[in-house]
Amino acid sequence: MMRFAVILWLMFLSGDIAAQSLKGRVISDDGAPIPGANVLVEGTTFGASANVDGRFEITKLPVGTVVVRISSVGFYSDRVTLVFAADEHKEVEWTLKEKVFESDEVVVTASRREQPALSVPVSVSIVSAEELSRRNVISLDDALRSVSGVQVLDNQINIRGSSGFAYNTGSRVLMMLDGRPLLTADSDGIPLEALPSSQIERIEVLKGPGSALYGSGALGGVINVITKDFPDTPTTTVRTFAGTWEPVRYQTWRQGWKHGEEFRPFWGLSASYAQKQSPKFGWWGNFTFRRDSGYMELSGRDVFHGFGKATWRPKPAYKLDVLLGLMAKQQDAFIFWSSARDVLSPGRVSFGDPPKPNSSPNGAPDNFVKQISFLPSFTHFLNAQWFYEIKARVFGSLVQPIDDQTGELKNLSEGTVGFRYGAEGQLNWFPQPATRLVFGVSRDAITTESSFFTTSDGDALGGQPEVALFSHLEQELTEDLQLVGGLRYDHYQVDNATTETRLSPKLSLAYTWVPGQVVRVAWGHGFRVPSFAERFTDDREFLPIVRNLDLRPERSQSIELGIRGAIPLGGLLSWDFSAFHNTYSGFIEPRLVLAEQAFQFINLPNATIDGAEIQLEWQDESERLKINAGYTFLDSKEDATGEDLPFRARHQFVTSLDSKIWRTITGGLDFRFASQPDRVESDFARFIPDAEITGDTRVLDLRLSGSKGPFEVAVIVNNALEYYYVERPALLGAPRRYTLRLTYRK
Amino acid sequence: MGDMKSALAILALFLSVSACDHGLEPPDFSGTGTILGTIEYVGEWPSPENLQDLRFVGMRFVPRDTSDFLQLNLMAISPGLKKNVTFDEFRVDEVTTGLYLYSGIAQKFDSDLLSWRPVGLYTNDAGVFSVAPNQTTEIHIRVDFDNLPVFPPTQ
Repeated sequence: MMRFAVILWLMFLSGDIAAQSLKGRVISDDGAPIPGANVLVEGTTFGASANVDGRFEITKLPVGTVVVRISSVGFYSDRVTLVFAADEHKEVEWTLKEKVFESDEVVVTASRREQPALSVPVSVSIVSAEELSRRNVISLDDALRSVSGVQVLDNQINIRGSSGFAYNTGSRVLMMLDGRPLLTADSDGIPLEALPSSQIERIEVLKGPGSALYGSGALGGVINVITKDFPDTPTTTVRTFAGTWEPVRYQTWRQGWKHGEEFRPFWGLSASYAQKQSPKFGWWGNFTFRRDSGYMELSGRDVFHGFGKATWRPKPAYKLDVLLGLMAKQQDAFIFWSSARDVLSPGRVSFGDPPKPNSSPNGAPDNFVKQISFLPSFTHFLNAQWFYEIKARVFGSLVQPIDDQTGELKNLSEGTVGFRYGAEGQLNWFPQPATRLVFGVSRDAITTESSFFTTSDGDALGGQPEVALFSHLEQELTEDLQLVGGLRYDHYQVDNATTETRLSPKLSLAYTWVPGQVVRVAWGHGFRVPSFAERFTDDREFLPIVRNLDLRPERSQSIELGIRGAIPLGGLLSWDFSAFHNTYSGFIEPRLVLAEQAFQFINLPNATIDGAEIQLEWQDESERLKINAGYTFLDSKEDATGEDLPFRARHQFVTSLDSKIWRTITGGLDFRFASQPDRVESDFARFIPDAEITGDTRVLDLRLSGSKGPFEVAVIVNNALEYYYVERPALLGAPRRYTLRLTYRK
Repeated sequence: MGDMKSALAILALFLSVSACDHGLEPPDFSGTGTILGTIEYVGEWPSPENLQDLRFVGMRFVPRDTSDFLQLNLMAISPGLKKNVTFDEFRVDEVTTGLYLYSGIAQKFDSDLLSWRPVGLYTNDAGVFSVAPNQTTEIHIRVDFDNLPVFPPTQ
């Protein structure tokens, strides 16, 4: 019996798959062909695009029932169930109904699968590859500063007020690359600089808790960087840029630093190559080097990073993906200024002692950082209804301090070596065309050795192993009503004696009440496990910090009501309006704890953030002019005291304008405004002069570009208004800078 | 093209309104002064293990508890002072101007960050002195190790 089953299985793999075929034509209501229409067999990799006559052909289909999805930009998609007998060849003609207005944008972050942006039941903003290119984006924070509801405070990403500023010790936003978490082994911080800029298709920003799908870290939202498909023809992109920081306008600031009067240079080089070498194999590689002398003393950095991706499909039903990332960075980390009269010089904290000869100010420790990310995944399509994925992840971090006096790297025992590794399996089942189910299990652990961290049991290695089970359901209740639900159970071990568990549900509905307009309601939970750095840091070199083994996870809960749609208005005007109510408990932040006579990361009391957001996008009929605008209102309160949460801007506004000026010359601007936080509270302000100073943020970026053949040249002026602001306590935001960029693309 | 002109007009208006405000500016500087002090020691000196450091500390506030010792922005601190002497002098330059409300000699009695206590206070003029720009303020402090000041101070 067993042998019989094996023979049947082999027949399925090798014989039946090759015999059946489907060909036909896709046309519109008026009978015109729809070139480029996609015809895909759901749950498989079988599919084809219609040619100029709307004709297509798919071969090697399996025997049995398949669900075929037919779609094209500007048309309502359709699904058809077909049954194939052995050696059967079907011929069909399908008619798609034209949409009046709809964007062709798609997103995957909302539900781990690609779906039209219009119909997702949560708030998602998208930064396109075109926008990244226009703005000369070379690190993720540059890309996110223009997204409505997102603030970047130094290296910390803050979605709808979820983060405030917490000293970069842990991120309340989960960053992913092609749906896989991108983390560091020590602080769970986001590696903002490691971005394969030329190979990004889009960046999706999910606003609100995403833990039901993605687990710890997705407390305030998720950022998913989606890379491009492999092109049919080899594509090479080489980009170089160079520019200068303009000296600040105030003599008082300039005279505090010997280079304060100078234009400070920066430059970079990026190269990328992508190719689909055969239907079975494709790959791309991207590397970037950038050198920035910095606009403040001891704020320079050299960064090299490379990314590569390869996909191998030995058979239509199998897919193997591998992503590899490397980064090396040498930097002076400017932490705090000397004073508001000397903002370009890092400060010193001392108790009256003169500084040691040749020592760096302790407001700017030097270090050398190396990171590696290895993300393989395997997908197997069992049949039209079932497929599974197995994903693994390994992240390595190495941080070596630099000796102030010799400039040499210090011994590794004075730094950090860490690995974070994990894997997950995900089973996808589409029992009916209107029903999708996902089940999964994941396992992660950290192994870190650091002079800064002391684990509870004295063991220098090991920490916080975590296991999770998750499920996800999408159900189209009617043609216009979609339900999405999810549940995730996480269990992690703090040390040998302590474990924590967390249950994260979510539920959302999306209702298309008129074509092109979707109302949504979403509810969900989020949580974040304390990072290794927050729990175990024990160090007295710069400030006395002691570990806290009693730290508990941060938790969040969100309810959101939103509406998204589009109308014709001299072109196309699309909008998204949402109102949200978010509650948080156990925020982890550092405080001076008198009983410990030191700083310690502790859980803070509960807080509530209510708010609303409106996003508008308008493009004229000729597509020569495009305007985006977004406004976010936040009302954040600590429940116990009624006080505002610190470092939250009540009003945020972003806008951008892009226009084709003449032939291939285009121009544009980005403007962002954040109101002065109503409250700034920081133990920093006890010993760092003027750390309580804050104000509005008003930054205008201008750009102009033109192209000829494979070459493009662009001029970019950032902070064109020369507006000075604090990025976070005791750190001056980036002043005006000029960039010239050359790109070759073929 | 009409759209383009409108957009440029909006941009020009926006720039003209916004270009005047440059946000954060260096705060006004009121200058710095110097504190020149003399110290008279009486009584039995603490043992070396209980005398890890000794400094003059001038505070522009009255401390409530030891956590206020971290308000470094509001304090003038001298380099380390001599130990086991009967008389000493100190000088602190580039001191923020203004009133100093609570000042004296502080002893670090343990290795912890906040293990400081006052051993002698400036008591003339209710313990308050002023530092003026480019001026030197002279003060005298008496330390009696057998009769230490109460801390925190009674208001």
